Amino acid sequence: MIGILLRDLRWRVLLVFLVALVLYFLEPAFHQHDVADPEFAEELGPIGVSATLAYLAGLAMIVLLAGFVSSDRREGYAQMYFSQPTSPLAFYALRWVLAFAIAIIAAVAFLIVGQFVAWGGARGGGSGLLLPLLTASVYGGIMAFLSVALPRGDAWVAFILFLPTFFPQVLDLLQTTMPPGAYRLLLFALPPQTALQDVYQGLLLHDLAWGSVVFVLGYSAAWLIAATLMLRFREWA
Amino acid sequence: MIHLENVIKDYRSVLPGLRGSSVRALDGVTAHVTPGTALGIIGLNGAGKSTLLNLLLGYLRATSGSAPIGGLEPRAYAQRHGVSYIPERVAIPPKRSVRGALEAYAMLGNAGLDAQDRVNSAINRLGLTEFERRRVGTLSKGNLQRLAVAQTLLADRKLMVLDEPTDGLDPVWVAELRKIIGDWRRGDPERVLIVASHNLPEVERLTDRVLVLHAGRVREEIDLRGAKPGSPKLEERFLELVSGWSEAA
Repeated sequence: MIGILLRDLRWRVLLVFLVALVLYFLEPAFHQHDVADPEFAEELGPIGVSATLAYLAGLAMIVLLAGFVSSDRREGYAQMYFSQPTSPLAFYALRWVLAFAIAIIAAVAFLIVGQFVAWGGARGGGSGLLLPLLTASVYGGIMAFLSVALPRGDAWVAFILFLPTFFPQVLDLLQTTMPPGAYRLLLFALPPQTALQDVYQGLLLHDLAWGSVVFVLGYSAAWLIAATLMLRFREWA
Repeated sequence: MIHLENVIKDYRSVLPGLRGSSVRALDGVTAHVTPGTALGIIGLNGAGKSTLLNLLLGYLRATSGSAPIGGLEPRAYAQRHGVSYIPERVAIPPKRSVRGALEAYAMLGNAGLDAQDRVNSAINRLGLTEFERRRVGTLSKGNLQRLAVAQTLLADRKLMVLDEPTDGLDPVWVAELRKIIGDWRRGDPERVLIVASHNLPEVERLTDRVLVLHAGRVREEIDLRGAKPGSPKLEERFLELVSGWSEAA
């Protein structure tokens, strides 16, 4: 079954590769023409790359899981799948795990290949993979919920939720324009960017922010549990 | 094997009061299907045929009443034993090849080590050899329907549910479908066939018993096995029933 699902995902995997290519050119650590300012040495070192790895893993989850439940329901493919002795939960869990594995493999490949291409050899940075692992789980959780809950457009909603990661100014703007209570509520629903930032800073300082790691995992688990419950109780026709 | 007890199914609006009230699709359906039965379900458009089939596959849940199959809730039955099923609107991912689609169903259906043999056999039986590398999205309606029939041959199930199975098939393949269903039934006398269709002569050929649904209720149960030579055809009896409902209305 995994082979068939991978075949179905081949064009999306190609898209993830293109995203990785774009991110390679945007990653400052891979384009240093002068000796780095010691103040930014860590951020421009192998651990610093983990922020870009996180972008890649998050976007990969959105691309790979776009419509993974909703299109089966909308187009009617689910009806012939689940007349077979198969649990929908097991079927979609397999697809989720496959997407997660591809996202992490893409991040690892980006780290290794990027270092060889830019620096001519590996300089480590394996511990920085924690950040893409956490980010993939966040966007995997969000995509699972949105794909079960919405009839279409799940990837677009997730992409809009992803944008403040790239453009934190959006959040600054919202903070100044929204009532404080509403803004706090919004921050609670949005991907835990602050906690991911804490994890990143902790990695740079070699002092892991365990509290933030647990918060991020809890956030991802909450969406996954909500998606599982909806999948369990929703009708398929 | 199947015991429908006073099954009611209401479709409720997501926003009650704002977007119309609920619609009762099934209204107290009771029927018992013993092993070995071939049951037809007929009725006018909107009578509740597809809703009843979706309940039997566990895709819908009854608002009240029960519909156990082999002692299990329908979804639990399908997940444990599988159901050979052809939906009214056959939907298969269009970018898969014919062979790829069948392989996926075989995998999902736990066909095991002989999955490839079963796929090959189904392709041959349904005359899909020349199309096996083609994308599903490029198939004609008739060939898509043949692919859906092929998919039912990938495993040995106890229950087969067919919703408008002859839709799009030419007379040659309608006759072949009859043979396939006959062989399937003879393979195990306990097997249960359920066919919903507007093609009444075909229902008459394939089944032993017919439930006539109207406005979500079973209005008539017709035993075809005891039909004497010269007795009215199913189509005539159905049209007679419909005219009776019209007069009553």
